[in-house]
Amino acid sequence: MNKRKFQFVGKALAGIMAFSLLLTACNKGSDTGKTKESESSNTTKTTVEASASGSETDGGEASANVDRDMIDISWMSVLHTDSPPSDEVIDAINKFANVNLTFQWIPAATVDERMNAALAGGSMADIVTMNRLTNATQRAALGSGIFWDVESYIKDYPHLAETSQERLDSVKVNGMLSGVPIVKPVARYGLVIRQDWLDKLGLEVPHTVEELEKVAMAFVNDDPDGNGQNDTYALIERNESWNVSFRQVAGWYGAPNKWGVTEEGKVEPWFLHDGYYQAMELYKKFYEAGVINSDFAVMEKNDQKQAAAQGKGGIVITGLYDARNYYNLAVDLGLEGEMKWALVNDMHIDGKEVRSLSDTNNGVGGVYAMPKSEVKDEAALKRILQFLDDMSSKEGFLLMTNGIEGVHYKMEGNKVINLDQEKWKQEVQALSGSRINELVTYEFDNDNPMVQESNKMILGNEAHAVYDVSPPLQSKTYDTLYSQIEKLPKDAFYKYVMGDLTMDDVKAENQKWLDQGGQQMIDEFTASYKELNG
Amino acid sequence: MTSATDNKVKKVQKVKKVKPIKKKGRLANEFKQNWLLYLMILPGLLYFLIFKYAPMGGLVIAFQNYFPFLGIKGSQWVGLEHFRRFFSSGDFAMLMRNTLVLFGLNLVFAFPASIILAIALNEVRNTRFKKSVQTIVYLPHFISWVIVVSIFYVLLTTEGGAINNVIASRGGNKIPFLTDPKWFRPLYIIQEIWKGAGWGSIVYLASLTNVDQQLYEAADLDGASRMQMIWHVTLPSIRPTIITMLILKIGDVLELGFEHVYVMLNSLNRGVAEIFDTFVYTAGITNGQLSFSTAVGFFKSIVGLILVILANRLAKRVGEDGVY
Repeated sequence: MNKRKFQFVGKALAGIMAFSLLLTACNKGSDTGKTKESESSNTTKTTVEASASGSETDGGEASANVDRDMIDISWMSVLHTDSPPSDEVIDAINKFANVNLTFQWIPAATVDERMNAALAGGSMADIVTMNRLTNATQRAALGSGIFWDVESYIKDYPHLAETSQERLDSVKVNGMLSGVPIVKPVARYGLVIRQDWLDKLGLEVPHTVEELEKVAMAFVNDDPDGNGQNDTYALIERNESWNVSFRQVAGWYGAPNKWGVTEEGKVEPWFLHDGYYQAMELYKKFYEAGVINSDFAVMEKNDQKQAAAQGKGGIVITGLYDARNYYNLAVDLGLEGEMKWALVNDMHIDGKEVRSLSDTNNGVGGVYAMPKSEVKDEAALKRILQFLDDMSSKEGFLLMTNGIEGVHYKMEGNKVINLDQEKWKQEVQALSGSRINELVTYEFDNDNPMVQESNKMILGNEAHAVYDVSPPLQSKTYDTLYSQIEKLPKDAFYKYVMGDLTMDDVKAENQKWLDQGGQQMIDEFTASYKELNG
Repeated sequence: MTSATDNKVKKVQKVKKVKPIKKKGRLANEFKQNWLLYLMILPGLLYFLIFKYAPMGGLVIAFQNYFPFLGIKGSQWVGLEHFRRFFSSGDFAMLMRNTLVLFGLNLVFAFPASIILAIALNEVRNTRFKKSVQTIVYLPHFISWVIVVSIFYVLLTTEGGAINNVIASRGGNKIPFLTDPKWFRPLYIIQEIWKGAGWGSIVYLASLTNVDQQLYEAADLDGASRMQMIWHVTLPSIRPTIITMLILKIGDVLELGFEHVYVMLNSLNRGVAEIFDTFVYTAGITNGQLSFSTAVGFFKSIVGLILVILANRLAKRVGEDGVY
């Protein structure tokens, strides 16, 4: 542990700092977690204030000088797995960050009700995981000022300060940054394609839509799986296409990511953009040629995965990490054979720029919010922010992702090797849903070459990521009506692709969307955008 | 959802209490004499008061812009705004039509299916065969809708679905069962019957065991055929049960079951498949619009209550008992 501390601070002061940290840790460790002095502010060292006003530029130094006083922290977070993490791992975190952590787990399935109840009853914790920013209740709570606005604080913490401005803006409500953003990769989508099929047919990996069309037609007509039957399609689409893969394709054609700003400065949805209609024409062409599976409008995500593993089709527009999932499933089914997936993250229209639309709400999964009712004063807030910062460091990240070194994982060079998958699932996995910054993943190498490759490509996506402009904007009409009238453009898409509607009908449906409240959303968003951007 | 039945219970309780009130002394006297009986209804009474009536107070949020952290006191009052939005949205007519059509089909096909099944089982003389059939037809009830609809997906899909494979191998054109709006209603009813008929027949089988066997013997002596016995003896004997079940069913007219329709719904069949529950789910619940969702739920309960009262009156007018 000492050794790695050196690396991540990397300053002349590092030696003294690590030594003093170690001392504090030992010192605090001896009066193990039961001390309740933490909430009284008198124990908070003045160094924090000093660094806040003083040397802001050197984040490493700022954090180095902070004494991490013992503090009790309760954390209301979401449990995405069956069982909470083991006490052993929590103890390790307590020791690492010098805190006494108590989790209140909310099962993911009941998160809305429980969160509503918690907000209604005011029975919250020091840290509350708010991961449903589209939920009107959570949104209203975040914009109401019941949580600390952390914007002016986080720049003092070296890891939190690295959060990109786009991410910060994306979780603001009413201009307030009511919590520390849950950082995720910005854009994970790309195209995965069967390399072995390409090889068999003597084709190159496509990078433009024009090349993609050729490859797709070959997959449909030239029997890429070599079973002598004309039984393959190319592009495996599913019922949520419109929201996920088709949105990416429209993005290739220049459509914005959900909401974008036009040249006249209007904030408009993607389905009114020319690129959207061009992408629809491509999909219709694909559907008619048998490139897309005929049952895509009813295919569930899991069936899509099955179809990919079984080689019913050879192209999927999806998260780049999915190639590995398809491969693993094929192995489970005993079908992997020569299966090899090529990953493409620079798909574009010939002569146009590469665009990757963010599929993770601009790279944030919500916020960790600190309610003013629980975190009474600035000193306590700063101590909690320090804790969150510590957990975004490499060590903190490893604790929450992989568990305890030597027990759950070992390091080989820069690779993390899991020791016992079952034990990890039981004792650690739940914590990985409460990580502060998932990007730290990419600082490690991965044992699996497929994962290593997709990690690299996902990081590469950030360079040409397209952001949704709407999250920081306010529109009352959007909050109440959007989910109700979204079905107009969405249904029209499926009906057009499957041949039930003409392009004129589609435009009529989109006009209906405008009439039933869409125009109001555009106006309100535009006004809000002008207000924010001068 | 249950408020229609709650109101029914409320009526029942009122009737019970109304009787003795005439003079104050009489009530006290009555209470003194039968205090043990009153004590016995106390747990039930408390149950309904605490878990059914008290929460009804929460209905006021249908008239507010309710946010949990503001509470009922702090939330803004908006009057009938949510109702206005609901009734004036272009979808209301479609939702009403879809709901009523599905309910009608349910009533015409699925409701009698249980009765027919029960009577058919009742006619089976071999007990072992009867018991095993009974068990088998109950089973689908315990399968969740997600599974039922998935089974139909596997059978009916156009990419390798068993039925379309057969059609294609005989040279026919594949039928898009799952996306063609014309096929939604038949599939819905077939699934309802497959899943629910066996379970629904239990109550009729129970009431069939109470039919006086002498009636059959008498009918037999008069030379009645099997069909005539069913028509003139069996059916009239279970008529009260059928009427009761029918009235209860009518109360649920707008409660078709969210899960079933939701898993069948897609962009292509929405025009015939969207019902109140699925609409509220996408338009209100998914993004936490509690007040709007409550307003729609309130509307459904009121319609259900009115229909139960009407159906009950109708039942009484034709000489049946009704449910209260």
